[in-house]
Amino acid sequence: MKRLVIVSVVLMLVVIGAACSGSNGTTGGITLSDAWVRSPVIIDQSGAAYLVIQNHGAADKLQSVTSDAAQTIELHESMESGGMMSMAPVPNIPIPANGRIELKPGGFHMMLMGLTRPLKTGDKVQLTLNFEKAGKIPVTAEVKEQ
Amino acid sequence: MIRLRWIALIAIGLMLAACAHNFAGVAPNPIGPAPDFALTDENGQPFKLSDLRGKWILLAYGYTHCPDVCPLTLAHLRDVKKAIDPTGDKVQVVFATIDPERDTTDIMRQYVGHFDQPFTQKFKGLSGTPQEIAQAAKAYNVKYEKKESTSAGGYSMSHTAEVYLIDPQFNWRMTFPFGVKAEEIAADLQYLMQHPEAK
Repeated sequence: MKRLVIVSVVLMLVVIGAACSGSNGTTGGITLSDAWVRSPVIIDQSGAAYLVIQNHGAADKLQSVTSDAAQTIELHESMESGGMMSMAPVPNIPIPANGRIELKPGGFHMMLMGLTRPLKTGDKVQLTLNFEKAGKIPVTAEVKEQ
Repeated sequence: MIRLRWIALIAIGLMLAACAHNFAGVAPNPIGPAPDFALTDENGQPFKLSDLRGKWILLAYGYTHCPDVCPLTLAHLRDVKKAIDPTGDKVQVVFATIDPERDTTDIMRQYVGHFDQPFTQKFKGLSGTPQEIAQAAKAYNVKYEKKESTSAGGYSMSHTAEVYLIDPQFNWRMTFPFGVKAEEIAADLQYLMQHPEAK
């Protein structure tokens, strides 16, 4: 009886663990979390997506992103120089060894261009991030207002 | 000895009063009349900034193809309005484009309309000819330039991304640098509404 209880508790923990990590992509040393997409202000314009990349392994690079929600996804960086904010596409986003990179407003972000469907607050968007070493890692992003 | 203690207490009191509020924004020195400009509003009507005399004005510049920085600024201004004047008409948000090539009156109406939904008092979304926009930007030392890009989204605009606060007497009271949080802008505005003489 005691064994049965232990087995069920362990099983429950495994199930809960699996459920919780459902929206977080993990492959090798890279963990993706807190992915979200800002709903485009004007319906046919681009959306921006953000997330946290945690690297527990060797240095890597985020090279590209794909999704069925957008025809093209570009990696962009907003930066400040001489008091002006500007934005430019970048070829990749370097992920330092054992480091953490946060894609956030005013910094690195993913630009979803040519949206294939309107994105409404609460919608879920599947993104696949392609890393130089870790390969493809899927993640689910939620559409948020801000 | 007792007198000395009183003097010390008064001095401390004065110091506390002076730093009762730490402003997140920067006040122009000296504070003076707000520069005026003329553009076209989101309904295609001629608009002068001084038409808003009598209100607290939160003024920002940007462009609608800006997916990262500008929505953040507008969302902050929406949150300030929500915190301070959700049902009133004392605080007016104004967003002026620096991208006249793409930002038509119609686009500006859609853009500000996304952020002012919770309010009966609507945000102003201003556009105009390149010359008018250059003048409106120069009035507040806003710098911008077109940046050709390899991006599929076309060119982008580099621009200063500050927020300007103008009081009901139409004086330029404060400049908030990019990155200042909505709560901080709201706290400064609330303080100035209660202490209009504060600097």
